[in-house]
Amino acid sequence: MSGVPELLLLQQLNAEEMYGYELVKRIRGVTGETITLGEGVIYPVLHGLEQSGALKARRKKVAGRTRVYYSVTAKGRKRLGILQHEWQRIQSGINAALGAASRA
Amino acid sequence: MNGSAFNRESTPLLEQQAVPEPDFEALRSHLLDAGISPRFVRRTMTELRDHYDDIRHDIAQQGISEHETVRLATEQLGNLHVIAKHVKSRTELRRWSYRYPAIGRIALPLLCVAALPIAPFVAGANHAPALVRWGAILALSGLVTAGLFLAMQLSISLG
Repeated sequence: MSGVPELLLLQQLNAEEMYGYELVKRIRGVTGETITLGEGVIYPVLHGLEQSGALKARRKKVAGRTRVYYSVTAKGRKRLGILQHEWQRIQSGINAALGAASRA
Repeated sequence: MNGSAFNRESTPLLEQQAVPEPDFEALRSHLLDAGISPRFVRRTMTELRDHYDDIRHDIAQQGISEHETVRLATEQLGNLHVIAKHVKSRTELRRWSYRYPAIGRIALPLLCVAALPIAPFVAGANHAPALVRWGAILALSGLVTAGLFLAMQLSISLG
């Protein structure tokens, strides 16, 4: 389950580039607040993904403030595909287990 | 690292200032001491401060008191100890000398020692006459030293 923050971050950034706070708010919104990341904790995850080449960062001045915007690279899209596949595999496994338990 | 290492001391006489703001400076020092690359420490600090300001701004817009805003924003940003733990768990964010200690502590010093005799030739490539003088003086001093050793050896052997 350790890949969940990476999966959520890559999934959101694949649609459009965002900065940290914007990203946290977006994840909170799309998950209906069922998944709440420790807000400050996303930065090491973002920096790790950037260092591995899955994300690229650029500084952008918006409303007088310089923000660090993140976007997904080709390598990141590949990583996203792997994580999505892995997550679907886990999900179907858990659904099968829950189904078996309810039938028993 | 104790429990309050990342919280600023509160002012006891001013109850409204009793909620400590996150101590980003303590976090910065802690991460640098832990071997995190200064580049990522700077980035983390800038982004965390901006994030904290954004949270405060959003909360303040709801008409909440300053005291309560600080408390809620600090809580929402998350425990700095936990953030520090996550940063330190990412080996790719460390300085290279922390990532590859064997190279930092053994190979690099050996390389420096090996480069020492070559360094003057590299540095003096554009100053050939000076390099020739330096080489001649070095050779002469070597000869004088060798001569002194020979004289000492002879005096011991013959004396």
